[in-house]
Amino acid sequence: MGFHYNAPASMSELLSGIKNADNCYFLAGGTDLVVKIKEGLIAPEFVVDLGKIKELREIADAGLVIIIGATVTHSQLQKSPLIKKYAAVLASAAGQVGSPQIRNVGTVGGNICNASPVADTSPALLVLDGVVEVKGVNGNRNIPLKDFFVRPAVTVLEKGEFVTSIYIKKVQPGEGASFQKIGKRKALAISVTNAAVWLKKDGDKIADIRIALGAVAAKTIRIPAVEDQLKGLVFDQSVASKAGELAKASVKPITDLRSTADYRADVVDVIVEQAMCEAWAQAKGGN
Amino acid sequence: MKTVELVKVKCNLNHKPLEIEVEADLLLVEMLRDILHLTGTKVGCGEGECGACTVLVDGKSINSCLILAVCVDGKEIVTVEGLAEGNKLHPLQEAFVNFGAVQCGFCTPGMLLSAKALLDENPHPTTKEIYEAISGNLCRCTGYTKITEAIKAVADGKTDVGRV
Repeated sequence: MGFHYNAPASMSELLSGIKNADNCYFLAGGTDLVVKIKEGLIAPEFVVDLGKIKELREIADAGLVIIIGATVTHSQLQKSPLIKKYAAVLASAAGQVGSPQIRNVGTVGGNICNASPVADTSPALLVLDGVVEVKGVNGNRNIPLKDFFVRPAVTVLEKGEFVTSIYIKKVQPGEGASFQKIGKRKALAISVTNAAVWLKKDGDKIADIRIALGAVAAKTIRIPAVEDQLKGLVFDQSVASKAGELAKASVKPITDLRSTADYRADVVDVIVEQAMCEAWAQAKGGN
Repeated sequence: MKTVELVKVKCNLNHKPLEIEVEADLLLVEMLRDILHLTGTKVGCGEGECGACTVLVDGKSINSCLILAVCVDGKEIVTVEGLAEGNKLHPLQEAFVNFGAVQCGFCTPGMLLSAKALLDENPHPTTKEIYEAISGNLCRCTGYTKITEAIKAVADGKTDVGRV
């Protein structure tokens, strides 16, 4: 136990002091990291606390996109008027993470870097076409969120790299998005399975659609083959139902302590259908 | 042997300034209980499930078992010991007594602080909003009815009524 702790007060201080070490961890909210340290799952040599860097805590309106700082908490997302207006799907997903205490501390950057396939914000961020802005000793890069996750607890981030913000596209009039989750109970429940759908309507047709699923693979996934089969169809209840069946057929979940593979697959069917219907209703309302 | 690194933390604890040097890996709850002997804050699960360790940081409820003490540098912390003013109980404490919202008492400090965070932000919550506010606090004795009633009574300005 015991590590070197540093809490840089600004981005420039952070960048000049980054340790290009194997054993350097960035601390955002810490709701996952602190537990891992205490349980001995990781033994960092350096911990760099991002909590004092003001610009990482901000949500900014940038026209067609919203820029969410890495250490924005789930509570901030849940309550932000900007997020509620243009990305209600994300406010809803963030509001279903853990408990108020966890949401007050846990951050969106931490949630994606922890790379849990069960994370509730990931499907919402994926269907909003999230892009992760990364800084590090070797410069900056932007990574589409769909290419960011590798497997549980592993992302494409390299040594000495950290997330500064996530860009999402605003949901425009004529578009709708929905997040659905099934857990064992309402509060403090880790998802058995979760899903998000974003779609754009053109008259009666689905002009474009993105579907993301959690807890059915080693990472939160998009299902482009299913999305392609739905594009251009005239929306009705049977199409929503078909989307659920296609989504179910496209995944191979596992059985673990939270659920069985069969139940997860059945839940995918139901929640994708529900998310489709809710997203469509929203898209209609916005026209 | 690894040298233990001490980090200076300046914060405000229960309305008084505090300066302390702590080990970098010390949890906030360990600082409160083991160093400052403020044992009102409890440790239940140690992983953010039960809410017995709930304290307020800058007015927001958090699990003190999930954050490092060094992370509260520059912040304002309130524990259950900071609720009463001298011998005068906080209205929430009074209502918890009057409604019999306490049995074994282990969840009570956390419940009180989650309730305070709620009422400070939203003085007139609905019952559903009360349920949500205490959804991260587990009680295994009285159940939640009396606790919810007590919080509602404070919101309605009726701390002197109750079941007891």
